[in-house]
This record gives sequence, C-alpha cells and structure tokens, in this order.
Amino acid sequence: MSNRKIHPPRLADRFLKWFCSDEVLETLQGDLYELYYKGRERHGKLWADYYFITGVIGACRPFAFRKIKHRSNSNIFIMYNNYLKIAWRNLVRHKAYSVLNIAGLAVGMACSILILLWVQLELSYDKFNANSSDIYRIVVDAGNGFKAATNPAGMPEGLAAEIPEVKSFVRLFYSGESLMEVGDTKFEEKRLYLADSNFLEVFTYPLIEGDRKTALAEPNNILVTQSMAKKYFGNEPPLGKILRVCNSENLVVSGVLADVASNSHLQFDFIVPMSNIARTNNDLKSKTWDNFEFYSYLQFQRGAIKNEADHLRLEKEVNRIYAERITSMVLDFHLQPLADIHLKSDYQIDIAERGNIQYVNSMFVIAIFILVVACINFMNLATARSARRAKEVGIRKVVGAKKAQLVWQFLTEAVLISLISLVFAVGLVYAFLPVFNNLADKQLSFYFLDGKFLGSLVALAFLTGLLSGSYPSLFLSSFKPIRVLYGRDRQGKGGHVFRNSLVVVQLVISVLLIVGAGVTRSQLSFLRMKNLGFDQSNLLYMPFKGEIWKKQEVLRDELSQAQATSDYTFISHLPANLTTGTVEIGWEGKDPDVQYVVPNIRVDENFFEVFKVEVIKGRAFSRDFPTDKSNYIINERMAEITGYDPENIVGKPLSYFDNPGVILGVVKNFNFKPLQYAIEPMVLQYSEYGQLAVIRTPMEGTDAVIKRLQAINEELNPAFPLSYNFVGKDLENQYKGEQQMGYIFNLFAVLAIMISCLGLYGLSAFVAEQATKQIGIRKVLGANLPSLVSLLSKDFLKLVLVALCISIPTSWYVMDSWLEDFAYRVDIKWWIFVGAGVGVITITLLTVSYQVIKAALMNPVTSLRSE
Amino acid sequence: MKLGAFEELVLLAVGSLGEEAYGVAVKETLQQKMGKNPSIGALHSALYRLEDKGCVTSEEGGATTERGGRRKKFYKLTAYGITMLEEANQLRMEFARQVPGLNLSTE
Repeated sequence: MSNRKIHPPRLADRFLKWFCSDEVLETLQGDLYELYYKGRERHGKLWADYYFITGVIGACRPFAFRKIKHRSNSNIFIMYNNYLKIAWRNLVRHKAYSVLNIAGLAVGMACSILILLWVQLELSYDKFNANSSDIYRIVVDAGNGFKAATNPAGMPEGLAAEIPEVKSFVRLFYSGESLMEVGDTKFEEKRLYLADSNFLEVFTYPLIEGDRKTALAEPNNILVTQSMAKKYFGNEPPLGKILRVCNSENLVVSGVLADVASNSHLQFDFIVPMSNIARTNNDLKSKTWDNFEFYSYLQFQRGAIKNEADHLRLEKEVNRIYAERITSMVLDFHLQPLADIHLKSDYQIDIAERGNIQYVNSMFVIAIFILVVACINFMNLATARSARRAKEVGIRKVVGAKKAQLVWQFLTEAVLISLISLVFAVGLVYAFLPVFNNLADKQLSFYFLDGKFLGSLVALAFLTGLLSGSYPSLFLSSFKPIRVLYGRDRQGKGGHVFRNSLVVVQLVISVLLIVGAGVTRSQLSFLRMKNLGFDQSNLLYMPFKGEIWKKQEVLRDELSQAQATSDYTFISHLPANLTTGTVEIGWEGKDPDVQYVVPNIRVDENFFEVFKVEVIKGRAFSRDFPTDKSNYIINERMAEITGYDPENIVGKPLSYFDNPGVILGVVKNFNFKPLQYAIEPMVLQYSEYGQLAVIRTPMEGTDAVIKRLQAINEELNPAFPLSYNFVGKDLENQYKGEQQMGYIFNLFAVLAIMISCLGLYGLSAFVAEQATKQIGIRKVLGANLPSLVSLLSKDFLKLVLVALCISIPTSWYVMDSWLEDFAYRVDIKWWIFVGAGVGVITITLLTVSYQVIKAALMNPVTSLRSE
Repeated sequence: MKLGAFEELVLLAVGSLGEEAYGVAVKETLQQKMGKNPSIGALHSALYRLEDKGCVTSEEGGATTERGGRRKKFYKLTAYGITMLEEANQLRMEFARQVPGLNLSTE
C-alpha cells in the first residue's frame, strides 16, 4: 500500500539513525514508519510529518543510545579465544615458518636485551650514591688540549672557605702499588687510595663493619673491602687486625666495606686516611695551590645547584678564587657532576675507568637496528604468506567481521608470537650473559624476579609484537572478500613495493654493521702496528720497590754483569701514558700569552739505545759530561714551538721548572700518550736515578732475564716479591676499551646479518613456492637450470644493489666521523666497501639459492599435476 | 521493585494484546482504552525498562512493507510480570477499601 516515493522527513530520519544504537533503531524506526504511513493516509502529509518529527525528538532519550552489553562482552572474549586458537593452529601447521619467525625474533630480542642491560649499566654509574646529585669533581683545562682530572691539595679547602654553598670536600690521592702483608700472605695491591676522613659521609659506599664517622679518624686506620678481608684474614673477624703496608708501617683495620659496585667510577680495595701522609707530603703541608696531584670532590648543599645557571655561576666563582691566588698560570676550572665522570670525561690523569657516551649511544642504536631487522623479518614473512590467510580473511569479512576486528586479530597473533619469542630470548640471554660479560669485561646481572625488569621485558615483547604486526595486520585486513574468495587473485603480490623496501632496509643495516666492524678492526690493528717512534717489542720493565731505591748503583752493576740484562736503562716514566707536565718552561723569545703543559722524562744515557729513539740533532746524554744534568734534550715538536732556527738549535737556552740550561739535542718525535692524542712537546732530562728499570730482552731470552731479575731481587730486596711487566702489553691495554667495543660490534654485526638471512631465506622459500607452476611450465618448454636460478635470484640481487647504493655513503660518513676522534687514524679503504658489498651479495645468493635450486630441480610433473 | 503508573498501564496493554503486542499496537490500545496518546519514545523507553525488570520478554518478528521493511518487536508478559501486576492491583484494592463510600464492585 505504501510505495517508495512516500517517505518520512529525511532529516529527522537521519537524525534518528544517528543517535540510535543499532539494536534500538530497527524496531523504533519501524514503529515510527508504521505510524507515519497510517497517519498520512488518515490525516494527510503535514499532520504525519509533524507527528514523525515530534516522535523522533521524543525518542531522543537514554534508552535509544544504549547498547546491549552482556551480549557483546562475551563475544569479545570468545573472539579473542578464537584469534589465539587460529594463531596457534597456524604456528603448528607451518612449522618451518614459525621456527624462522620465532628464531629471528628471539635472537633479535636477546641481542637487544643484552645491549640494553649494558647500556643501563653504563648509564647507572655512581647514581647509587645517595648524594650523587650534589657531588662535583674539580677538573681543569690548561689549554692547548691538555685537560686534567687532578687538583692542588690546598684548593678545595680554600674554595669551601669562600663559597658558602660548599657543604664539604673530599680529596683522594693515589699512591701507586703497595705491598700488603699479613703473616706470610703477601701481595702487591694496586687499588689503594688515601682519602680525607669524611670520605664515607660524602660517598655512601656501604660499610659492613665499623663506624662511618670514626673509621678514618686515626692516621693508622685502614678500610678494606669484604673480598680483601677474606683474602688476608680468611674467616677471622677483620676488625682490629693489623695489615703491614710497604714493609714499613702497620695499619689497623677499622672498617669493612662492601665490594665496590662495578658501576662506581672509583674502584678501590683499600682506603687509608689522608692524615697518614699529612706529616710527610709537601703538598698537604704547604696546602699548595699550584701542584696538581689530588682528586677533589665538592659536596654542595642540597639544592644549591638547581640548574645550568647555578652550575656556571659556581664554576666562575671557582675560577675567580683561583685566579686571585695564582697569577702565573691561566687555567679554566670546571665542576664535573659525579654522574658524568664515567661517560663524559675526556680528562687525562684520571683514576676513573672511562666509558664513552658515544659507544653507549651507538650500541643503543644498534640494539634498535637489530630489533628492527627482526621485526622486518616478521613483516616480510607475514605479508608474503598473506595468500594463505586470504580465504580466512574473506570468510571472516563475509560473516560480519569489521576491519578493526581483523586488525586486532593479526596484532594479537603478532604479540603472541613475540611473547613466545621472548621466552626463548630470555633463555638465550641467560645462556650467553657470562660470555658477554667476559667480552665486555662487565658484571651484568639478570634478575628474573625483579618486577620492573620483568615488566620492561614484557613491554619490549609487546612493542615488538605491535611493531612487527602493524603492517601485516593493516595489509591483510584490507582484503576485499569478493576478490579473495573468487580464487584466482594472487593477493601475495600486493605490498610488493613495501616488502622490497623492508628488505632493502635490512640489507642497508647489515652493510652498515659490516663496514663498521671492518673499519673498527682496521683502525685497531693500525693503532697496534703504528710506529710509535720507539721500538716497543721485547721491552720488559721493573718498577723500583723497597730497598732498591737506595741500591740503584748496585743494581746497575748487577744488570751489566749478565749478558741477558746488559741492555738496560733507568727512567722516571714509561712513554706509555705520561701524565706529568708543567707550564713552567721558558725559552728565548717566548710569547708570554702562550701556555703549554710540557711533560718530562728523566732518563739515563742508555735510554736512546734501549728504546731505539733516534737523536736527529746534537747528541745524546753522556756520563762524560757532568753538566748534562742541567741541560736538556727536546723532541721535534718542542723544537718547532720554541721557534729556534732548526740548524742552530743545539746550544740554545731553555729553562724547565726555573732551571736554566741549554738544548743538547733534538730527538725524533715518539708517542708517549695513547694515540687519541697527537704528539705533544716534551723534554728529556738526564739523571742516573730512575723509578724503574727497562730492559730490552734478547730474542728468545725473556725467561733468562726474568730468572736473573728474580735472583737480583732476592739478593737486594728480599722483603718484596719481584714485579715486572712488558711495555708492549701496557700499550695494548690502553686500547682495551676500543678493543672490547670492536669485539662486541663484530658480534652484533654477525648476529644482525644472521637474522636478515633468516628473513631472506623465508622470503625466497615463498617466492620459489609461488613460482612453482611457472617453473614447471618453463621446464616443459626447455628452460635449463642456470637460467631458472638467475630468473629467481635476479630480484633479490636488485634489492642488494639498491641497498649498497644507500649504505655505502652512509657508512662512510658514520665511520669517518668516528675516526675523527683519533689523532692517528687509518683512511677508510675502498676495499672495505667492496668486501662488504661482495660479502652481502654472496650471503644473499647463498641464502636464496637453496630454495631457488630446490624449486628449479623439481619435476614438472609434480608441480603441474594438480590444478 | 515497583512499577511506575505508566509502566503498569503499558504492562496491562501488553498483556491484553497477547501475541500481537508490538510498539504501535500497544500505543493504539492505550489510546483506545485510556484516551492517552503517549509519544512513541516514551513508550519504547517504558518497554525497554520493563524488559530490564524482567516483566516482559521480546522477540523479533518478520519485516513488513507498511513499516518500510523494518522488523516488529513483539513483547510478551512473563510470569514475573503477571505477579507484579497482581501485587500492584492488590495494593490498590487494599488501600481503596479504607476509603469510605467507595464503590468497589467490579461489575
């Protein structure tokens, strides 16, 4: 009776549709329509329109908005159950893909977890200290690239007196190796510091036994760490026990400290009160302001330094006070926050084990890279295999699934897989933590039961799941049911470009890491092979101890007597990491505004021969000229700075520490600092007395030298065990940090490449599978194996080439800026890039070839039989 | 739980209509019997409330052309609904008996 032309007012109808929930709309609208048609027949259009509109407005009340909740609730629960069930079935059904997926993600996550643990440790340095934010170390910049972590002994006290914000100060002094004795237990200990008596009040290192306030009160007190207490006293209570130090003094153990946490910049085993040396140390007695031997920490009132402005103001204050006292030097002091010491310190003469914020940042980036590579694997495999899920998506859509629901389904699946991977990743981390610790020389630990840690792991898994599920879920859920159910449509082809770009990203990251590893490696071997200006091989040194100090002449005789030890020299410092220096140096025509910190080494006449340092002008020191003791030999760099005419430089005046003399000769430049530093000016002085003896051991004769030294030490210095070391080894140790980073870098580069290979393998399997029929037909028509293999590998090769074009300039730029930090650096060789390129191409082809050849060898009968 | 006055009338109408109780029918019954003309919104609101209280159940019927292809929703009195009506009626009767001179004969 009604027809389609008769329609209630559309605006009101639309409004009704808008505010009504689906459940209510059907019947409410039906009733309104029925009334409308009836009313129109009886009373006409106007009447019916009016009643329809008022009816709609009258229906606009709460009941109309509501959704029937209980039903949809159980629906969601059931749907999620279903999602998980389907995900699980898919995992079990396609075992090979699942293994690839889970293995890739697990390895990627394990790498990231390891790296993040390391990054977290590096960033946590000294933050355990309760006063961490109030403590600043005084450091100094002397200009011309010389920056030192040390301070004059009298300075902190003077600052505390003038700056009201300073609450207290602590000075530390490193006294070198000390011989420790308890009965027959005798060891050389390197980690002993002298500290002001309030050390434990400023630094909150936990004290296990003893009293924080009085533990360092007496000059003969000593604090030991737990493991040292065990080493020397076994299981006996250590408090009150006597430790004999340097065969000269008995100290009483007044406290036992917990072993120092590995994330402390100060690493010590023993602390002795400063008062112990206050009677004999000239710096302490005179409260000097111009001899830099101490490490000083200022503790400010809580809240005194709230922002950068306060910090700068106080630094200015420090510099003002210093400049008032000392006018002979121009120095720039800085206040270095305690928490910055480990990572952001480039000061020389530092006691802190140095980290590097750059390494921390780059490792963090690598962690993200590896995770991204793993996620890309997942995305690639999921989208490549989308054809297999296309029918499922089609059916789900036909029975009423909305796009958002499908997106959730695939995200749920991805999160499920990444949670499974997390379990494996945690297992991997657990298994490889000791190896990693060994490599990085750190004490990383891993507590499962720590809620925060567990939380962040789960968060990582969710993040990975969401990231890797994001694209596949959008891609799969946008399938059109009609097209996928119709059958012939190859949905796997969609997303082609995106998938290829993901592979390119993976390859770019791999090449970056390979080039990075290659360049670090060549730079490190360059540093090791670098000609230092002296011959570092077969140099053995013995620092003087105890009685030897007074018996140097006898030692000379003893060494000369045997053939093995006759090639020896006594010097004051090794040219390995020379940390002394003074600005008090003068020459004719010196510009008074220029200030150089010039170090010196005191050497005897044998130095030049033993170290094979070449004298290029003038002559070496000699016993025949008694005046040599007040004259100098300088290096080429120093000669340049003086501005003397190079031809007539011998005999020109030079004064060092206010001792006037003349230049006897010039030696060829040799390195006396790690190779991050360029060669600086230096002065050699003549002295028969040194602090250590250096012996060039004959080839194959090291054992004989050591045996001889043992005998000499036994005779001259029976209280001390013989200690010796090799110069080459010391030099090597200077690059330990770089070397460790090199190893770690290599390791993760390899892992990242492995993960990419897993992805490529999966992808090639898919491509081969899709091309099965094509290959069958080609074979029937007479194609041979090589042509088929090249047909299938060609696409992968293209991707590799694109990746190389992007990654080579990027990696060159990144590595070049890393090398900038070194004064001596290799040039990045072209063959590193060729190597990386060839490597990546080979790896890709090898990975891809297995599947491709398998597909190409398949009998066409099998591949074409079924349709 | 108490029934509101309007709800009681709607419930009575649903009961009196038997198998044919859907929105428009209920509205027309109320109009004929009571001379009331409730808005369709108020009526639906009351019906949903009664359903929530458990006095009626609903079932969707077939679509018809006079409703523009929309389905009807048929309501049916439940046992609980009947009890509620009886209670309400009893309460009113007891109250009314205390009013002197009120003729309570139902004939």
